[in-house]
Amino acid sequence: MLGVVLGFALSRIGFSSWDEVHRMFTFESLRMFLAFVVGVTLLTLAWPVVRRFSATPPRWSARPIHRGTLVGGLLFGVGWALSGACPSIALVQLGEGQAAALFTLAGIFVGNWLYSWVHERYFRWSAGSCVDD
Amino acid sequence: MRHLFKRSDPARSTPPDDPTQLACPHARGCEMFELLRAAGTLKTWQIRYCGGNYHSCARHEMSAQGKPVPPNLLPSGQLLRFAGGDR
Amino acid sequence: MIHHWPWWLGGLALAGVALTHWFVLGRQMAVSGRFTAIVNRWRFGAPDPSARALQSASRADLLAALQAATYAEFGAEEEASSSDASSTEPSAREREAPAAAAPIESSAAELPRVRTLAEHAVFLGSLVLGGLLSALLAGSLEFSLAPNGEIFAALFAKTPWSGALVLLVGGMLVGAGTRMAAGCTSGHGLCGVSRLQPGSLLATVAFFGAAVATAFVLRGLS
Repeated sequence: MLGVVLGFALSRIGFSSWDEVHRMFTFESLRMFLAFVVGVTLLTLAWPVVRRFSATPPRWSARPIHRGTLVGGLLFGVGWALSGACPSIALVQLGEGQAAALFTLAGIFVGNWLYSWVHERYFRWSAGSCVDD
Repeated sequence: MRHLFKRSDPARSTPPDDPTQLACPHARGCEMFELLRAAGTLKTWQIRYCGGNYHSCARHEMSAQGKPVPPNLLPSGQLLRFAGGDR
Repeated sequence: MIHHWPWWLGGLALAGVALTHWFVLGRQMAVSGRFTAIVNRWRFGAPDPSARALQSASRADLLAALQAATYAEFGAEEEASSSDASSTEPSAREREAPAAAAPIESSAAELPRVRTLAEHAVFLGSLVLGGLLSALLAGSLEFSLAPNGEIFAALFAKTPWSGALVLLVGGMLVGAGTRMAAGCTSGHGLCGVSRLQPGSLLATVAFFGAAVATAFVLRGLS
């Protein structure tokens, strides 16, 4: 239900349009980038307030730098520029009627699965906590 | 730069068994750690699993393999169950 | 045509949703983790029901379970090593006394809830619905197999399937990258960066940087 609002917002901001996303990444249009910056700024200001008024200290998992952070981020960035979508966007695109998003979604699941297999086989590092936040 | 690699969430007050002093990088966020602390039996587990040999902790090992860690998984690899047997 | 929101409205919306997510669900907003959970279910099977069973345990039951587990793990050795002068483990007496005196504080410790596949599906489905609603209200809902975007078409739609292939490969990079970095734009980008988490800062810089570089390369190719 909350996802509906998120999906709606992402669509209206323009993240679900490949062209708009491309314009953001080539700095042709700074609108969406600014929206992101504003969002982050507002949250940065909001979290300490949230913490202060929480009855118990919130248990937010740490996100330290681990061995997968940099390369994972780079891979994700390339993929995002190519597909125009991050995981949430692919779903929003589907809702808008972009059937081609099915390919993106299939890719995301396959990529996630493949990485899981590779990591289990060849890598040993943790992402910072043993519980999903 | 080293401070970037340490967990530093100021929201957490420093408890008597300070997890930041432990070698295991998960100690601060580990739910089982908190559960054991609340039950008052933390020290015995902590000595064996959260110090320098944290690689022996089943929770950390599963997490390092990229597998989902059951919330009731004990560091020994056993699953926490009802004392009188499963219900 | 969807008229895209101005930057300040977009920013407000993103922050608002993230905060509401925290208040309502008690977790940081993150989407790639849902995909990871689904893939985990697929690869590693359903989680052991004992976690779910303990969810509804009373405080006393949970305490008893933890005590029993501690005894099972250390109890036997405690007897064997009672003569070991260098044993650092507290005696059975010491273990039980503080436990009896310190009942579990209600909010201090509880078993985190394992979300079911259905819950993940509902959340992901609601994102689809959000997109549907947006297009519907803008009157631009149309089911098209062609990937949208004129720039995209110019770049990739050379053959009927080349566009689809690019989306598939791009999606695979997104899937692998978000799992490897343990987060996506909402988890790392919005929530992690605003909490000044080092991993999120690095990941966000990395993915924005890589995306910008790739976009320029693509533009150079066109």
